Amino acid sequence: MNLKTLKRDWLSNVRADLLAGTVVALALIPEAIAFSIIAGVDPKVGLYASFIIAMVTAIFGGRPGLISAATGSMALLMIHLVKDHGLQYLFAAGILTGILQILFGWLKLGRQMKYVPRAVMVGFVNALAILIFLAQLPQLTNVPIAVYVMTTAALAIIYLLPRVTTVLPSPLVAIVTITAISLFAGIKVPTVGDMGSLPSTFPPFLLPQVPLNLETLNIIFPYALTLAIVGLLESLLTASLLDELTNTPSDKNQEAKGQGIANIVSSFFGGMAGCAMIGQSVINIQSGGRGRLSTFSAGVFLLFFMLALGSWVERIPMAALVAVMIMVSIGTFNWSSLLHFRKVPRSETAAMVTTVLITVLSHNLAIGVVVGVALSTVFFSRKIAKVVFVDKVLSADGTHCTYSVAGQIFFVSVDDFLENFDFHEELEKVTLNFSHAHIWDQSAVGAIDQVVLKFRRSGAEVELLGLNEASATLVEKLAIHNDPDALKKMASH
Amino acid sequence: MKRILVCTDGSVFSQSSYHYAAWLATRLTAAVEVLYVTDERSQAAAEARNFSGSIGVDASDALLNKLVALEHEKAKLNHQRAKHVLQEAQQVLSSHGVETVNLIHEVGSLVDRFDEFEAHADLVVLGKRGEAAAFASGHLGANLERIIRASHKPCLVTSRQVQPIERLLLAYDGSPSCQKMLTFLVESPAFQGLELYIVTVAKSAEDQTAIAHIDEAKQQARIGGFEPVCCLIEGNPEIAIAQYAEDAHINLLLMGAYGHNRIRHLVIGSTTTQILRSSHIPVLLFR
Repeated sequence: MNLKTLKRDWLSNVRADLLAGTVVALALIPEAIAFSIIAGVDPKVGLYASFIIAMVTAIFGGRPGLISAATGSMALLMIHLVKDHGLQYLFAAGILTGILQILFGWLKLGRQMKYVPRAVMVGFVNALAILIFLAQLPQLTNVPIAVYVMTTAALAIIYLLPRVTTVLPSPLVAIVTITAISLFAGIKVPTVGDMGSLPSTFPPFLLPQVPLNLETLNIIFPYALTLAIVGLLESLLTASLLDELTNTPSDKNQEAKGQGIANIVSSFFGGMAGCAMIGQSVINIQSGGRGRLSTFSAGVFLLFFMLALGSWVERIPMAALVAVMIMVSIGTFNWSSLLHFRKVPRSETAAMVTTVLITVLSHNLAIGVVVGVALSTVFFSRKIAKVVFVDKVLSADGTHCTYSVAGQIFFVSVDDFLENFDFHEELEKVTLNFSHAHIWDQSAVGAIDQVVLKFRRSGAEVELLGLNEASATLVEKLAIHNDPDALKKMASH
Repeated sequence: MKRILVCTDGSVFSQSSYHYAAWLATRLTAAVEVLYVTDERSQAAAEARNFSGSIGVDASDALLNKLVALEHEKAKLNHQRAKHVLQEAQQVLSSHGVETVNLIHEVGSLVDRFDEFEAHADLVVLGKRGEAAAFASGHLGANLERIIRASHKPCLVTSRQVQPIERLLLAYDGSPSCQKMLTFLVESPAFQGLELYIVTVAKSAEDQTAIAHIDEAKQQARIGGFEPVCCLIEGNPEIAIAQYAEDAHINLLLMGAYGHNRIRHLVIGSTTTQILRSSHIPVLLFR
């Protein structure tokens, strides 16, 4: 990182970055508070995390303009850890998450994102949006009727105000209006203050109070690993989205390291682990934020709002924050994927829907993605396997048969490959032409062995032709049909 | 064939740089490359002022489409402007008798990619100020100093007025960049037949090294066929050189650029910057 890029990343867009930072800070508050509650910790844990993560990723991240903070997807993974072992283990897990993410960045695992197909990405995004929405439901069940009215009113302000003016952040107007109404009219509804304590000071530095032994590691490692994976998936996904939106490149491995550093710092200051946020990052770009300063100022403004306006923040009705989160969830969901249901291949839709279903059921994006990737891989290999053609040409006298094979021969396609041969003909010579085929694995070589030996048994001379270099090497190494003891080995199978 | 690189942005200062480039090119029988760089950042930060903070259905797709449309329009305008500016440059240069003119349009940052641009050039010509600085005289262009510092080639920094070049002033202090300058003067046909003045500025008129310097310069210049008027003046270089240039009606000043280190620059400012700022004549700088 030289001075030139540093200057460009930070100072090329100062005014717009600062304004966008303010708008984004407002959208960070509801998510931090809402998901702290879901994770079973005080809102201050989420709020401390949000501004620390925003500021640290602004400095160390690889994608200028990316907004990272305490997120729903991460909070959902922490519920059981907090419930079973308490807050201190959450901080310890956060530190381990950060270490793993730095390791992933250092190992350049960012590149491995290519194994996650678009369908699974879309599924991830949709599942995330659904999870954010579902997380709002507890605030909307068993509550006075006034809550529904307020939520609806807030949503109306959020969506209708931009039609009148785009100068004022409509979520802010919604929050202020609803709070004012509830205060003046004295309506009794749940407020942020009811949910737990808010920060009143700068976060204190503290070491997690956990015994440093293998047992602790056993407890936190599974959580840390899932947190690290989900955090990176969401962060890198959001980073690519911003790359596309702003038409600028980013350093994904640096982003992974930045996320890791942010999570470690956050955990040492009493915050939870977080990652990049799709909705808020889109808001940032929409508001004109491009540089690192936008992310950094979002963190600083968030801290300012909390410390300067803490007593007012306590009085905000939850209904107003729920409305903001519903907006974020609607903005995050990939609606066009529903429209494209009929256009995309059915297997991809299946992978997408499976990712969504598994995630929503397990509340764990990592499981959803793993299943989605596995399913896509199976679908893909099945498709490739279907593209195996065997063309049979019999010589005029009927004694010499040439089989021309085209396609990818591997474990999935061997059955289709074998079906094409007729071993019952009386032949003197059989030629297998592999000029348009590729032999990939043991199964493929095994199948070729089988073909060769079967033809031999029926009395024909067999010749292999046109193997490309990689295939020929594999056949040479593994095939048994050239082995003198071939038949014996075959029989022992 | 020598190559002169002219950096233009279509401003008034670029106009005069075309004239000076044409003058140099005909004397050196050099090809002229005219470079126009569209700043990519202004394109990237397309105006999307929406502080509503509200995102609706398919927010990112909608935003992407909007940004693409905005930047498309902007880029199109930029291309048109670049084309216009470059064509104008070609006209001016051709009408002054320059035979080979290459037009180059690049997108990016002029300062960041200057190395690439100047790699094949023998001399760089650019205006003292650009379109960004209005007419606040006494200020230098936003890119100028960074480019001169980054450049490895002689840079001609042109002023707004165009005058025929008859009298040269060479500010000599014996530094390596001044040596380069003398070699250029002697070897290149660019300044043959012009009146040459050489000054050295010293703290006192008895400064032996200064006297040695000016003698050395005089001899070198004589080898090149000049009859220089030499002068040792006392005082502050930035003021004395500018004053001398004015009094002797000099049309072109040659000097070494940024000879001192950055720390001195920070404390008392750079002589080069001072002179560039105050002079109304083109300055040819050697690194």
